[in-house]
Amino acid sequence: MKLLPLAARNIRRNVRRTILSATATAIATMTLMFLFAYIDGMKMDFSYVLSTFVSGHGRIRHAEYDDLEHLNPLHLRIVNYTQVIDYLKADPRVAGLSPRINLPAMFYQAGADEQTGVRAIGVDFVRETTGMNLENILVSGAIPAPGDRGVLVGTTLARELGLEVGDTVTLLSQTMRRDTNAVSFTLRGIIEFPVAGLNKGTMLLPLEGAQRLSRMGDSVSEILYRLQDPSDARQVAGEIEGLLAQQGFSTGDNPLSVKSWDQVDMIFSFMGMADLIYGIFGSVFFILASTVLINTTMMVINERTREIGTIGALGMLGSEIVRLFFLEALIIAVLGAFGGILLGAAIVVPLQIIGMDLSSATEGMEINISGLIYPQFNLVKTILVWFYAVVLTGLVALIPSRRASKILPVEALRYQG
Amino acid sequence: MKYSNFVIFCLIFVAVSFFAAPLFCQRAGTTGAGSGTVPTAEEIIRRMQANEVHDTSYAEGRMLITDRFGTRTSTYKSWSGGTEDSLIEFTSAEEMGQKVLRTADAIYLYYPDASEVLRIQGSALRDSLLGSDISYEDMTGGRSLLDEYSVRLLGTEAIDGHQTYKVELTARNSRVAYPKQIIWVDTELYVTRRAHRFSLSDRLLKEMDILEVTTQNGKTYPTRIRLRDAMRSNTQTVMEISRLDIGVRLPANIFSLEELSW
Repeated sequence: MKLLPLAARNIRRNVRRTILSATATAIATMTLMFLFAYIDGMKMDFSYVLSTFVSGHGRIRHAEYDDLEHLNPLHLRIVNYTQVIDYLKADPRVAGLSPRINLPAMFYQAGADEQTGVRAIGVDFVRETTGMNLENILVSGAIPAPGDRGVLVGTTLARELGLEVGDTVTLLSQTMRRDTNAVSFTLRGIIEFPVAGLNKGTMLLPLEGAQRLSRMGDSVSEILYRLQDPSDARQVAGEIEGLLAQQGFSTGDNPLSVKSWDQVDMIFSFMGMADLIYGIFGSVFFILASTVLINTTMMVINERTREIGTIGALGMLGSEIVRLFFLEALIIAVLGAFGGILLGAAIVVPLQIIGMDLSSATEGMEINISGLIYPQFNLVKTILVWFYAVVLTGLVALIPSRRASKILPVEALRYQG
Repeated sequence: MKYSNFVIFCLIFVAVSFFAAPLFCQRAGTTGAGSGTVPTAEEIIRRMQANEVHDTSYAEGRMLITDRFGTRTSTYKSWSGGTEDSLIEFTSAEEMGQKVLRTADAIYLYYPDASEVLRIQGSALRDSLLGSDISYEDMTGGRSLLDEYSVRLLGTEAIDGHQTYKVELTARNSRVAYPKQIIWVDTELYVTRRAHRFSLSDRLLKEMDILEVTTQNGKTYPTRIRLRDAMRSNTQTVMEISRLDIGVRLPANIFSLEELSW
């Protein structure tokens, strides 16, 4: 007996109920699809922010620096950084290198009772023009030329301090010897970082200026590198660490450690687990959506008890009855899931182009995520979500379907309803 | 009956006066060689400050600053005048040219690479000088303690084999850096042997121990001082004065902002 056409005809007998059952599955499918697209967008954004502004695809530091980072251990530095850079430049895997100095500093404001703390980063502006895409984020002014004691300031910080291009910026900071020093710079430009936290508290100084302020001499706190292919960043980090030791750049007195970006920022590692977590959430959504389908199927079985008795008396086997009701539920699940991914695509695809502006929510947060997220439509994941929805919902629909086979034709025919 | 009460009252008055008088005399105190009486707390402070505070002075010395990462040394020259003014200029290579000017109303910092003189105020006063256990706040306040504090003698105590008067100082106003201090003053030399500084809630904030003293031209003053910030762990600062010239003629305007950035 051809059950599929029969099942398809049966679900048209009560269109409203069919639509209602399918809607629950559609909403769960749409939600899960959006969540996956959103998390993919966040991962993409996070990768960009990390690789461009925070850690590159990997970071080289003195081996003891990380444990004491909260104490600003400037004396734990890379003293031979120019040689390290020259060596790594020749590595075909490396796309770019950025030497940096991280300096918590105070911006001196004459007459103010409270001075403003800033995060001063000493950078090589020539390298960072490409590394940080400085020209793309420059809002006003210009990027300081080599040898110029000019700085760039985040837009929020500039606004809060009332700074304009051309103003003198005097920074007070701890030095490598843990005493203090102050150096004056000139504000050359204002930049709009994609991350609210960076805009609020960051100043970019010329590397020589940061070395002067911290009295670090010709050394840096860290070297960031970007890879042509970041997919195996962790393995490459291990290999670079080995190479630096082999070449004598990392010694017992001056040990260097290399960490990949997922080792630098824990949130990045958690994002890798996000797909799994959302998959688990998805199963909960679908089970919840399936309760509608279960309820519907049970109602249908109850209403069609006499019909079940009739077809059973006419010779339909119990297994065929189960398959019939299962197919009815499965078709509803398929239609619902299909509707869900259409709805999801209708939401995700436009957002992939225009983005979701969460800047008001992320303002003031210290996480490395920008305020504008572009959810990513992924065909493979979309098909997987559809398949996941159909399978899970269908399996759950087996439960009420099996009840139908337990109904005895004799009793079913006597059923008054 | 009436007369009995009067007589009893007189007897009581005499008895109380007889026993209270020595107590009263001890509090009021008299000084003078050979009197054997304990000086008042005010007298102790006055004599101590006569030793340690000078109309003008010039000093050279160094600071050994120890923290969890090791010990570093900074050398300096300093000038002081009157009760309020002082100028420190650092002469070690790493801090060459850096200066700290203290006047009656403010503390100013000069750094050779800064285009402006920095005035330290507000919460910045609690920052430490060169990362040491000395804060800028420690450098504030008039140098006459009796103007800023009421004093009370707590007794005597031996510190490192020296008998000292233990004096408690309680701030008269909120302008001072430390609401309460206890200092131990050598009973013979009238030089500070130890000082503890406290917050309003009696929390110990700073400790100072005098490790060496020198007598010159009739004045005794500390030449090696150890300071410790009780709020930080594993730190200390030792100040050593290698040269002190008292009553020197100071250059004109040495305590001015113009001279600071010169």
